Amino acid sequence: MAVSADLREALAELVGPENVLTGPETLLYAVDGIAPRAVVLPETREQVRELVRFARSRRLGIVPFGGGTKLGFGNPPAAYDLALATRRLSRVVDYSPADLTVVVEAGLTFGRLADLLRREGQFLPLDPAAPDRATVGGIVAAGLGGLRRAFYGPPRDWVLGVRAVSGEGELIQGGGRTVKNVSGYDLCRLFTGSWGSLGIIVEVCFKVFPAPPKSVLAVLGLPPSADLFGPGLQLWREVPYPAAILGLDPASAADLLGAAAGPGGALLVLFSGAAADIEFQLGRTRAVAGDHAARFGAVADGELAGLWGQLCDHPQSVGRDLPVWVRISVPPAGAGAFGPDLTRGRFLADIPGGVINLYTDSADPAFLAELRRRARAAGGSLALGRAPADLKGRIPAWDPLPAPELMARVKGALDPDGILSPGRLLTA
Amino acid sequence: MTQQPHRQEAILRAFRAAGIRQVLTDPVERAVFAKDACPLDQAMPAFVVVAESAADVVAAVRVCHRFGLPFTPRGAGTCISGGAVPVAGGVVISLAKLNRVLKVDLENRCAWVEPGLVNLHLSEHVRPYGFHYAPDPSSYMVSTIGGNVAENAGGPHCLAYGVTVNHVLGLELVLPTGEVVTLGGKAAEYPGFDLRGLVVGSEGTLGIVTKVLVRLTPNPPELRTLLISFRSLADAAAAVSAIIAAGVVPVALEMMDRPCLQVIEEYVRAGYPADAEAVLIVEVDGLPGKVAAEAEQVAAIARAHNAAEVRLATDPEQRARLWFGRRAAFGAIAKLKPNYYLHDFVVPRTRLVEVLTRIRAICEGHGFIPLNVFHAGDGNLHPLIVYDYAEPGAYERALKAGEEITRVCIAAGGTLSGEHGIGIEKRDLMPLVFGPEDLRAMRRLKGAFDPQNLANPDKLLPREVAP
Repeated sequence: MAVSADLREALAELVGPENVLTGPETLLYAVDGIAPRAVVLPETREQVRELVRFARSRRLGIVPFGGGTKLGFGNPPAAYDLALATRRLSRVVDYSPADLTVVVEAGLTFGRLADLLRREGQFLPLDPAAPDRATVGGIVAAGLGGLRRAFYGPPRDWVLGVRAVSGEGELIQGGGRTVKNVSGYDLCRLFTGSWGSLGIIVEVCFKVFPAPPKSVLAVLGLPPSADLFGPGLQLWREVPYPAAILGLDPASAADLLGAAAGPGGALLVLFSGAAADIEFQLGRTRAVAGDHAARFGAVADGELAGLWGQLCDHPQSVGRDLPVWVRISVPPAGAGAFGPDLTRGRFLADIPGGVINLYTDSADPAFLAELRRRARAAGGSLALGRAPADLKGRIPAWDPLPAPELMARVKGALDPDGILSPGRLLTA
Repeated sequence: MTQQPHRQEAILRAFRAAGIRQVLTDPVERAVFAKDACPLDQAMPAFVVVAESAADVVAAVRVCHRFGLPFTPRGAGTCISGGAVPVAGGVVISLAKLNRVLKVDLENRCAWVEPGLVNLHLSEHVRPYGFHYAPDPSSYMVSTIGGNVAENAGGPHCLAYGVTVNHVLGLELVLPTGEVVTLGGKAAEYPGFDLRGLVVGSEGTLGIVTKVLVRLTPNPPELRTLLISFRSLADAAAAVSAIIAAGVVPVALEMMDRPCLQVIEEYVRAGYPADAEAVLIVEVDGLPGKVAAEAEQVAAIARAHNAAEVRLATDPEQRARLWFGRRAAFGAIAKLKPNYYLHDFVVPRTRLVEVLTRIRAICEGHGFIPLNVFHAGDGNLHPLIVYDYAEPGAYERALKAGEEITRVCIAAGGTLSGEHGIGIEKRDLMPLVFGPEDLRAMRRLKGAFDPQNLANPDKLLPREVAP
């Protein structure tokens, strides 16, 4: 794509020529098959402000770009002039282990943050896919819960403060650095999960926690055509404090667990805490499993770390080679109703979270529309996590927004010219 | 002058025509709604609508919208930052009668409730099923869920369980324009912005919440409460930091200082060691192995920090007794002097000793002895100054001391409020922590919900910021 020398020069003036890409490299930043006219890699938040102000003056559409691991979500951008890559904004601003808080720039990868915390015996239970690429800014902007969401909460419960550059180029602070804060409107919650539509996140303060002393994953191999959801919910009711309860389809279970998997897939139950408690929890789990499972096993230590990483990376491990990722989120007790539909692909379900990640090669919009109708009727929603561009043209990436006029007014309050991720979340 | 009574009559007629049965106009009745628990301000509303249904709230807001009348929602009126103080000549919409549990959904661990439901009544309602509602502000025996949502209330057990916003899954909101929207719900993810999270803690300035979907938390299988006394405040505060730093996150970690302990002992006889300089109440919960290990670890850390005594409550009765004094602290303090000014700041936990020492010095400089009873584990301070309004200059000195304490807390990296809200009390201090761009963004968000600025105006944001 031809880029006017003028645009390139103007951007180079703002961030330095080494931080502007315009050639074929822009293809690496394509969203839904659309490449940006230019990629900018600011090194300071001041540069982010300058870039947004410049873009606003020229009415250029900007999509913030972290590790690019979740950009399959959302509708195709209505205007994609600039990719604003955050990876050169990746400093650790302040880590205070004794306060259980850490402040980092948005482009830091989750993997590097996790390493930093691990050295102090702490952790952040967000479980993103591809942690070596996923950035904290992207994780917060998407706000998606990880596999331990039901126990530890989604990202929004771990974000104490956010700094973001609004569509007017103003640097806005939401929250702060303390674990409790009710000073003014909670802007950090507003930015969390806003998919780059209200501001470009440049800095995040997280609450962190001491890492649990020990974790064990119980593996229940299921007999053919077994229902995962009923037993999964029973485990949730009857076994105290599971850190996660996951359901896995037969093929993925065989891939990831080998002989421990059953012909009907697997239920996985994670426990974290004191060794004596875990023994008790495993005993209770085995008692419940007795009625349902064909096999019972447990995974711990190094083996668990590897397996857990693969589970978190479900868009690649479970969804490998499957072009469509359907994310169904319903009240947990209603997830079982989708069991029969899941034979259309591979899946990983967070049972107490009520979230099903279905991966399929079915590009049938009627099937997806029907799933969406039922998810909405059950009081939930359906989002596309990735899909070929032509499919996205035939079915919206999100459900209709609740309170759409109010959402549009909120967008207008922070991005009056609609230059941030235009059309991705709110379609004009 | 002749138009005013005519307008008031027209408004009253509009309320009645909209089907609202209870509109208070009698000055004596209205006076009850002129203030909340904040000592700083009061204002006489022209009307008080006592809503008997969500439909009443919608109708009342629509009338306010039509007449351009400012309105203030009210639960139990226990707000200590002035959030429930109306605008003079405006409308109070009381939600106290909307106090039902609408539907408990144990399978999905949540319940729809009305905003006027008293916090404690919710937990009592679900206790037979083995669940409770986790946020427990000190006012939990009287304050309402709607008020808790408006202020994003905390409480002693928020250290491990989180504050109100972590326990509100969804809500129904009447916008100041009279539109009704439902935000959030029982599923984990919905498309669009997290307006639920924005509305929680917005102090009634974005509309009126008429239904709340709360998360229900299973009761812990095991619970242990420790009462630890220290001969020095510095040792107690250092023990708090050490407990957190050691990787223990108790469900509650509360501190009381000597002046506070003396008052409690004198008036409610909770059995606290009255000669201690500071006392910690530490609670751990969960499975037996974790609870035993953590209780032991906490006790060991306390001894390493020169604890004078470690008491362990082993049964529910003893536990209730340890908490009783803490819960009764504010009532006891009220007997000391007729007035008190209760503050609310959060500082990084590692700065506790330094900040507490400076607070004491500031108060003594103004002739007060501060009482401290607070959520130490969160770094959430509640210095309390008792005074007698009738004593000339005392009120002014209390305000002056409060202002100095505020600056010290902010300078230590803290924030203006941890759980009481900004309200009227701290609105003009907001520029201490937020810059002009932050405040402008907040003002614009307010405008997105409330273009006419009718919903609880003049709260939360400083008055001089232009839209």
